[in-house]
Amino acid sequence: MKKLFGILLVVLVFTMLLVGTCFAEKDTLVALSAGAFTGSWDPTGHTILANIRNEQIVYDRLFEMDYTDPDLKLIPKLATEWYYLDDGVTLEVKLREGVKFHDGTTLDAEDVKLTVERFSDPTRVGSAWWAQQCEGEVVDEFTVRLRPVSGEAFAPLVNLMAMTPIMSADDIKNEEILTTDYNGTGPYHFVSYENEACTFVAFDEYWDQPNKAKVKNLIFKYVADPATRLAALQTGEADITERVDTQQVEQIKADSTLQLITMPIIEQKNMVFKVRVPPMDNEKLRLAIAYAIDRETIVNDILDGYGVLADSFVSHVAWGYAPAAGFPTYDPEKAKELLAEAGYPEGKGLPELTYTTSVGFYPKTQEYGEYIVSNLADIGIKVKLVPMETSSWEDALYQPESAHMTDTGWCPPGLEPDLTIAAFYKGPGQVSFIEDPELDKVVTAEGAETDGDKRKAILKDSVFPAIAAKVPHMTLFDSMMIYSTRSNVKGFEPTPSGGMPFHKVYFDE
Amino acid sequence: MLSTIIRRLLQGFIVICAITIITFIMLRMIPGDPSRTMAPNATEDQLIMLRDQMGINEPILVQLTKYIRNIFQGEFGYSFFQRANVIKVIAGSLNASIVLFGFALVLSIFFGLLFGIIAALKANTWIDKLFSSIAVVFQSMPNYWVGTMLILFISVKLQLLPATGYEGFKFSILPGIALSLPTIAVLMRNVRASMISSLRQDFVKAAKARGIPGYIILSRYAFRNSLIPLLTLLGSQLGYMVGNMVVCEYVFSYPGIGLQTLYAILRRDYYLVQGLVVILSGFFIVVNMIIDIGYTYLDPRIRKAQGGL
Amino acid sequence: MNFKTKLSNGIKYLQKNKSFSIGLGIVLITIFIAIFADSLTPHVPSKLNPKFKLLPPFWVEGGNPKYILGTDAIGRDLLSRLIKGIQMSVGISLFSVLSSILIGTTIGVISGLVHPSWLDSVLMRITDIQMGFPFIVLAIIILTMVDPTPFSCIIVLTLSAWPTYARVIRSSVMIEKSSDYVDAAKAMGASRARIAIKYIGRNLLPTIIPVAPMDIASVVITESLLSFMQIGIQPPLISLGNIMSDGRNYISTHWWITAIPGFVIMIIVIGLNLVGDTLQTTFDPKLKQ
Repeated sequence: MKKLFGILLVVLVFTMLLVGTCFAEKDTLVALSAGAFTGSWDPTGHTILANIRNEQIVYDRLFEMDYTDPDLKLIPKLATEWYYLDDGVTLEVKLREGVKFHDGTTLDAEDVKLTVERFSDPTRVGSAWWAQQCEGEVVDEFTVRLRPVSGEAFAPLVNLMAMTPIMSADDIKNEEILTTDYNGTGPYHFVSYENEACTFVAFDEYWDQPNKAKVKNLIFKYVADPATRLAALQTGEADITERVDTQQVEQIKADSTLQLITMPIIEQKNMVFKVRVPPMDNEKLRLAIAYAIDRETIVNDILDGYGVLADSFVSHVAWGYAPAAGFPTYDPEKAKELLAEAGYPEGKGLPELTYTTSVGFYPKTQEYGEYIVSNLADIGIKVKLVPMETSSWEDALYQPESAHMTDTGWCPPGLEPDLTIAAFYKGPGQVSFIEDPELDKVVTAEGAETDGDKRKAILKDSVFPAIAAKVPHMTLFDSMMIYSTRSNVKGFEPTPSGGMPFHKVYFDE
Repeated sequence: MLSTIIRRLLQGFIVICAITIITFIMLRMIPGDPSRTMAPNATEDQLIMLRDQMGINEPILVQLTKYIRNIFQGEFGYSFFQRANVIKVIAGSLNASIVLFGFALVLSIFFGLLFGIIAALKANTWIDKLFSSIAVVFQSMPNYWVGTMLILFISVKLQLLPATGYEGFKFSILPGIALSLPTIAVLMRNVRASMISSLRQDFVKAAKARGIPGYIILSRYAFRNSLIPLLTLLGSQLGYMVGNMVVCEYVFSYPGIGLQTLYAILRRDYYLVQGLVVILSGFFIVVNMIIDIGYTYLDPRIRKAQGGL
Repeated sequence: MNFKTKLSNGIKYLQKNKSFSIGLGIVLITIFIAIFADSLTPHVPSKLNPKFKLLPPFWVEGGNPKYILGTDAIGRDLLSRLIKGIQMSVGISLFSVLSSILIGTTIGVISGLVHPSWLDSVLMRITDIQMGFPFIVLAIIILTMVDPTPFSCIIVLTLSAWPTYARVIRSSVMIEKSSDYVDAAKAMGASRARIAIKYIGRNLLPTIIPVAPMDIASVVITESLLSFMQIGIQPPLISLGNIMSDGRNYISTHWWITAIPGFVIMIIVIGLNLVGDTLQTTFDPKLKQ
């Protein structure tokens, strides 16, 4: 017995000593995702951020937004030139020659045509981003024309193409490959997906040699728990993690082996009113609630300043952002007046409202949820906070009558404002199910204006103020994404749309 | 004996079938479904298409019949989120869990016995008191809390052992320790109690009087006599350990079947949950069956009771 | 024996059994806190005060004597939350164990009495199904299926605990049933029901009583675990587990939020285990000196 114990002890001590010896030469980048991957490998078959991030490094787009440029000008990628034809509706695109897919085939016009048609096909889930169905026309091997099927102008098309991964026409014709494998032209190619981790290897024949992936292997792995993610970073098991909790920031700042990267992103957190559920159809009541929420305290104290106080209905990093005239600010007195105007002086006659929120997905939802409940109690509105497990909440979110109000976030994969505006406010708007002729009118007008500057003016002068007057959604704040990396990780430049361009990352020796 | 085993196997099979059916029905009663998790903002029409592809658009009973028919053909379905056959997904994470569970079990039995025997031999001395107090503390610490503390001190502060993932045995050490502590405590306390009572029995006293050496008394009489209650106890502990394993795997982000189960339920990965439930409950049922049979065989009182009133 | 001698005997017993007195003390204090929680909280436990967030306990530098154990991430008083958390956790655990004893005993006695029969087989298969169902899976499924209220947590925890009682009681009924004095009673013509109540019922209490405190202890841990994994009690309700899970993100900079509730759970569980231990020794003649 003693002998066995002795042996076990020796083995234990020995393993403990062995461990902690440093890793071999660094040719693998390990990044952690807070969101899970879905089983849908087809870019048009889901709307999940973790998968979109995969697609961003495996596929290329025709062109990309330069996020460092205040006007968000476009940088050519797979396209060398693009312009509207004289009809103001058709977009003609000249493609780069000699670009190879990971399977060795060459990029041509048909690839782009089929990609656009598949993405904007209303029966595909990916069309959630496409307000209009579009079609392509092959002019020659490297020239393609894209236009909405309706023939009406579709302003978001260019910005949408800046986020649409170009797939291979062969794969689109053969769904078997498309749904089980990634085949793009991007800097990394996909190897495997096992145990919640995606593995990639740098693509040597990448067309854009100066921008080819710098680290040979990439592992992108789902770890649900923020504390565990940070622990993995601190022990060196991971190099990059996303969605650091604000309370972990102090700890990261104090640790010389880690660095912190904060990034204002396109995501906004909203208080959404389910307008089909009375009394939420009452505009004045919605406004009263909007004016009663002390958002400054939420951003500064509950979120520790890791958020930007919203003043519009798209994030301040979005294309076409402008402060919304008439955007509700914290004003309890005004809220009380509005509540009286709504027919519920001091909350009299108002039923208890239900307010659903998710657990463990977005940061601090319960904490600020409870704070909002106390804000509303101050003006006489009784609210019951219902925290829900994420999948149940997601299911309830898109049902018109699941609650009076709900907390939600919205993080479209690009900076195009229509990904938010058209989705939420053109009837029936997602989540709130608002149907309002006036909103429909302004949103449609904005979507048809292909001239960039004119379109921005419409957004600023008519779209945002119209939403502010009706508030089917009250925007609480623009999210800030907090990333942390090991301090030897260089070149990590997350995008404002939540993208993590791993191919630019390298290790500092 | 053989007929008992066959009967128990049959019973176990029925139990697993019942559990499978109950899980199947309950899973579909949870709000939310995998199509929604995959494409939260899809329209109702798109979701219907997605559900058609997944084969979850039909009435529950039709799906259930299909599922059962497929099982008999060796088809356990497809994981929506791991995009692979359920069997393959489970096989991929089973290894990690077996290592973790096995390691925790070895630790538990070894230290449980060792400390229990020492405490019993030194009953009512300071050693016994120390060991017993430690056991009470071990048993009283929530193991997710122990896990969190181990990560904080051993992995983060001292950088001795990895905190997350599984790439080899060293990744199983911390979760294994966290998983084994309560079981060590329970086993130790029970071994101590039954050893003390055996040591007081007449045949042990008689053996002592006859001058039989201490270690033989210990191993041949006292220890063997304590094994039956230990066996039963281990059976019930294994159930707790499986539950705790899910939590440990969550805290350490350890890619075993526990973590798979948690993620699968939260994402509504129906067929994967089904498969995992069969594995987990099957394990538990088989273990208990073995213990039950052993117990019936070893304890004459139960055998007599089988005879009836 | 008059009351005085009883009392002095009791005190003597407590003096002799230090671990039992410690355990009993802890249990009584816990029960006191649980009953009078609402009048004991120094602050409103749900009142948030972002200006005073993450204060350490008063003895640590930077602490505020108004918040004895400090505050959490949005400035809620931890001591008040802890007191309410104890009430919730202990209440849930107590009710769960009581109801599992009730269900488990009923099923166990019936099943043991009618032993070789179809009813026994059916009941035992149900017990097997319940035991074979991995508890945590069942808990996650049920708690995502219905709202995770205290009531549904009690149901889930009851489901996890009753089969053990049913099996233990059944086998002890079976053992009692075959014992000589029952045989004798039977020979003397006593009816089955009479035997059940008189001989077996009397012998069941010793089976249940020593196990109950330890079971409550393990349910306290399980309950906190469910809340910790964010599937149990949900805010704004407070349980020890969700205070800890809130605090887990701040663990290396603000350790007290996680450490103190963990410590409280440990103390409560130790108390229950010590009481259970002594009861077990008292009721198990084999362990008596």
